[in-house]
Amino acid sequence: MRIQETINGNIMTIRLTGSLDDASSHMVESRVNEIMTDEKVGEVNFDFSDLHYISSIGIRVLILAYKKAVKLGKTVIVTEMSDKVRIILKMVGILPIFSPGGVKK
Amino acid sequence: MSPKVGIYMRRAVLVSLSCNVVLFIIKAVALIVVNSLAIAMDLGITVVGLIVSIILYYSVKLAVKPADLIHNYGYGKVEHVCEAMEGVVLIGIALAMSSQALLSILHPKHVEMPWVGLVSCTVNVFLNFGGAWYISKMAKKSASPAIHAEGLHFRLEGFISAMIAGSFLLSIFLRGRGLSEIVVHIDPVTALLVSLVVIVPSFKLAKAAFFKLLDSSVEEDSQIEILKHLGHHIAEYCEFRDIKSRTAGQKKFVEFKIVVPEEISFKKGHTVIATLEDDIKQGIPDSEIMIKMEPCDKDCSFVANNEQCPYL
Repeated sequence: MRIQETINGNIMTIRLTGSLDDASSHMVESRVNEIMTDEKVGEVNFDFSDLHYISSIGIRVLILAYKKAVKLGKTVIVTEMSDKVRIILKMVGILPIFSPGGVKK
Repeated sequence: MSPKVGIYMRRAVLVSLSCNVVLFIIKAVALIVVNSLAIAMDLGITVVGLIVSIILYYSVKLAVKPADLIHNYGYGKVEHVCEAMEGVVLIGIALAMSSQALLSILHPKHVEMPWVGLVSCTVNVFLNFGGAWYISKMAKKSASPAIHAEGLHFRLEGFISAMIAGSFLLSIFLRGRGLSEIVVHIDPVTALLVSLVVIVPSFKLAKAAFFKLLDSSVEEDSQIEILKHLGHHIAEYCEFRDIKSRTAGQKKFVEFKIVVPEEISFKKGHTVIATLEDDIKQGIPDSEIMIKMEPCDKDCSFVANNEQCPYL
């Protein structure tokens, strides 16, 4: 798992490469938590175009990140995603909440 | 657990027992006549299968018993004990037979009447695959891990019998060509291959069973099902914490906490929990869901900015 971060104003883009599974989720969760609590960051954009797989633990990390963002008055969206990840997020039914203008709470 | 589940499990066990008795007789007779190490290995596996079938017969009766004052979570774990036993004993047999096969490769012996071995193994192939088909069908209907393991066992035995039948066919063919010096090595090499074929799935079976006995979480499908409903009801709670799950036979136990605003009425909080529990139960058959409610810490941006809480 590789995490690349780029910041543009108060928008942090996190690009994940590889698989978000049991092995990598802890590292991603810790990093996302740090980013979320950073006062300079107001919006987190996930770029999953090079993410090949997301397991249930990875989905849990995503939902927790979303909830944390709502709690702190920030926004989390998934800007890009591979077909495999899109299918999984769609199947779980959480794709709309990570779309721009998705569910707001 | 519905009474039908118990019926499916008992049917599977009876078929398993009957097939194992017939297989034992055929293989024992074939071993006496043919004197083959590969058949001895196959017979060893059947003996294990027969013993496990008998244990399974009593385990199934126990597993379907409802929870009581002593076993508050029911008796589902007895199925994993069966799985683990089957895996461990098969590994033991495979290791013993592979060492015997290695010795026989160094000091080879002729097998007698390979056509008897061929006929008996061919019959075994049909019996095993037929049994595997029926038992797997019952395993699917009952969602029982022990019955599922039994179905796998039968399928594995079917492949083993097919492999041994192939070795006898090869022996008959080579013997007809006067290549007896090669023929003597076929039987121990087949026994060694069978041992290797048995070790890998048996190890996986035992490992999975031990993990379940050590309360490993529910499988990926069920984990996703939990998250699916948490995602579906995302607008009704502040956050969720400490998802824990475990399996006991076909029964699954899930528990977690949801954080809700402290001002929420008890009735509304209970409704949120009850809806979530019902939805997850629908998605994961034979599951017990327990959700605890915790009040929020009021450390969110809504409180800081004096805004209306969206979860009220």
